[in-house]
Amino acid sequence: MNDAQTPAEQVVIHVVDDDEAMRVALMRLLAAAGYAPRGYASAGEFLIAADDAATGCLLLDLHMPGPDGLALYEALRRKGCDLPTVFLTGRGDIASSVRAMKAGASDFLTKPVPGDTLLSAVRTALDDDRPRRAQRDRERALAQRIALLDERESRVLRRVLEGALTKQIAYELAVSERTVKACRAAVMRKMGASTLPELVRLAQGQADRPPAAPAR
Amino acid sequence: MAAPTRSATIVHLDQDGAVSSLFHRIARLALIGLFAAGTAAPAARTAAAPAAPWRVVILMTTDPALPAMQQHDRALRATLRAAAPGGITFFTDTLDAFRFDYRDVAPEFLALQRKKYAGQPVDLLVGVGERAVDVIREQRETLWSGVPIVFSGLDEATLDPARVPAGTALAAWQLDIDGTLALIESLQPRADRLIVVGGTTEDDRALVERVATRSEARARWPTERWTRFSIEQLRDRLGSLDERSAVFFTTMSRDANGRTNFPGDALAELATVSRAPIYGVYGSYLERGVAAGSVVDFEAGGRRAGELGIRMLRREPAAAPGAASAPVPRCVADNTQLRRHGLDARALPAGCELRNAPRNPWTEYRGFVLAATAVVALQALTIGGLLLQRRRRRLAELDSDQRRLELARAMRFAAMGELTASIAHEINQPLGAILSNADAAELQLRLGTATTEGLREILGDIRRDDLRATEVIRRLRGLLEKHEVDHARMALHPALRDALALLEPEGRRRGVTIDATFGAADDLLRGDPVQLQQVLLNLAINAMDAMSTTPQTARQLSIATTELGDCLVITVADRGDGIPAAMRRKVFESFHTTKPHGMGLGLPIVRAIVHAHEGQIVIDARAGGGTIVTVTLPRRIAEAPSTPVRFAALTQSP
Repeated sequence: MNDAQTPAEQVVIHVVDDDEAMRVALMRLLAAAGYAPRGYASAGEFLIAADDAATGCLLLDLHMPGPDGLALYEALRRKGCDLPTVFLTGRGDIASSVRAMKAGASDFLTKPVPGDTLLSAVRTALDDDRPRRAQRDRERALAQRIALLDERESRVLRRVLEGALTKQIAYELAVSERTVKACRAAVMRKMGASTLPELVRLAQGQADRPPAAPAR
Repeated sequence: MAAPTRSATIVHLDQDGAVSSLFHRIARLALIGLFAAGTAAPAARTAAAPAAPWRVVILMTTDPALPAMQQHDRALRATLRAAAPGGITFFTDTLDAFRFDYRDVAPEFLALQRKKYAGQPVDLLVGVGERAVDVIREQRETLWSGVPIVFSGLDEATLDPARVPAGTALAAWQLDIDGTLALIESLQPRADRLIVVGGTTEDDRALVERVATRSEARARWPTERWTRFSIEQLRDRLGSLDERSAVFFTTMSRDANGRTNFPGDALAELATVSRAPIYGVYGSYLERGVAAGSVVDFEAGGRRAGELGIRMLRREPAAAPGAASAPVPRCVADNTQLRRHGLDARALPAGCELRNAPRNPWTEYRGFVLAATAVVALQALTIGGLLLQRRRRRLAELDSDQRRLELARAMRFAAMGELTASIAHEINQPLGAILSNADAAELQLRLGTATTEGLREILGDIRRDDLRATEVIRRLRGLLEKHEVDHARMALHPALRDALALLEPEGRRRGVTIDATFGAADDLLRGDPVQLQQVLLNLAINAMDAMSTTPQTARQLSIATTELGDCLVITVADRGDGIPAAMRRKVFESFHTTKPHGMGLGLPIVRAIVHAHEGQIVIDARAGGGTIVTVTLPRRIAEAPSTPVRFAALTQSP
């Protein structure tokens, strides 16, 4: 726990464990290490409480009554939630650990787990997740900006990015070129781009995702 | 007589060879009867035998049917017959001298004798009795010239040797009057008179006189002579005597009323009424009512006469008159009579034969006693063997009980094995919590964020979790430790709750909801807590196994207790696949299992435990699917404080 002082940013750690004593102890440890732990007694409880914007790390007990840790994890993954996840288990069961790791778990720890092992696993999970989280933050910001555009502005942006000329766009939309230019200026303003190349670069940040994706 | 005998034999053969009709058989029997009486010719005699049969004439003084004479005659004939090389033929004549005076009938008797034996060679003449001596002496020259003669039945004491013709043999006997008197003296030392009873014939009177004279000579008692009484009078007189009198019965061929009889018959008639003991000197009186006597043995006399006759027939030189000594009189007593008259058999001289002696079980029933003893001994051996066998079996049972206890314990280990995952989880959870709590405290202290309140909370949690782990271990130890099975008063519910605490994590692990309803108001019974926990564990694990393929939402295990009369009932019900009716009996058989790694001993052990608690276990299909197991345990609270436990055999049929 030598490097425990690093996270001071109040990262949320979601602790899902049916055993209250265990859950409380884990939360206590995480809180001492500077995280903001949140406890859930079952997978269902977490599913209800957690929203799409949940951030941080998931600490998941593998063996729970009802849907177990792995089932919850797989459900979250299908839902698009990609919180970094550290599994905890009462017994080192190779089959379930392999399954968990293949499904994308950050780590798989056997209880009782020493504090520094746990904290470093959590930290590693968070660190590994940081680039993805930055990207996700960017995407989220872009999506928020795109959401500000009205329908005509969206079409103008798409045609601009496709390299269409203003005259061409005006013809297609059956409006005047001046109108198209005003619309493009509004897009530039809403997207936070001062030049056309900057707009293109910004918009390409989510090139692999179609603009409509966040609405899904 | 030989000729007719032979012809009879021939006739017999002819008839046998001819027609075998009933008539012929009767005729044959009649012929054999006729001739067998007069001939001693044995059937084995053959025509080829060179020696001619001996022809023997026996002349008796008395009626031949007289018991004494019959004894004498039998022995005489048997002795002679045994020595005859070519068979023997007897002819019998009697003077019947007690009833007929020979002098009156002598001419006719002689004529008859002459007629009978004139043309017949006679090899030996035996004269029996006093009168016969005189008659033979008179006829000797005319009738019996050259015939060897043996005299028998003569009393040595009264015999005048001059009466016995020269060249004849004499087998005399001794009337031991003095011996008999001595016997009376020792048997009746306090007797105050001796009554000599006899008949009215000349011989009767002579003998009475002889006895009385001898008695008077001994001067022991006053002696009375009773010779003039009839049988009836004697019955009265003897019946009024007492034990201080002694009666010496001589002979009574004729009583005062002229009634003639065999002396023995008269004696028997008198002896039944006499109040005083009766003594006699004749062997033939034994069993007729005499108490004791030194008696003449007529059989011995007959044998001796026969032996003398044989010597004479063989012309042996030793056949001189008087050559053979008289047979020694025998002392004989009849215990029945001695007892009747209150006489002591111990007063008899040594060597005296005691007839009708009290039966000594040993001498009388030696074979039976030995056999009975052997049987008893064999039975004792058998019983001993059985006891030994019982002891061995008992030891073996104890041994096998011990094995079953160990097996039951092994099965508890097996049950625990099934729960390993959840038990590990149960211990891991608190251990993990403790570790995390300790780490949190340490981190707080290091970062300076620790507060007293926070630390106190952490320590409280650590203690609680530690106790939680300890509790799991306690339950495990309780189930797995070796323990003496001891049926004592116990509360059922706490024991079941302990087992349930081990089952609940397993239920959580398997997604089985456990619903426990301990409904019995009074849960006291006599039993072994660990074994009853084992019953619940095994049944519950089976139930959970049965629900492994049941949809998660339906996986419910219901455990309940109820009271039924003086019994506690535990039910364990599941919603599993159920057991086919045909299998329900088999599940209690040892080594019957449906589980891939099962040993098939769980239910047999459960049943053995339930039976050891005198309870019952029944498996039924559950309404709505699944199985319900009902264990009924009698409370047995009133029983002795602690009863040694016997395990029923595991293979016992339900």
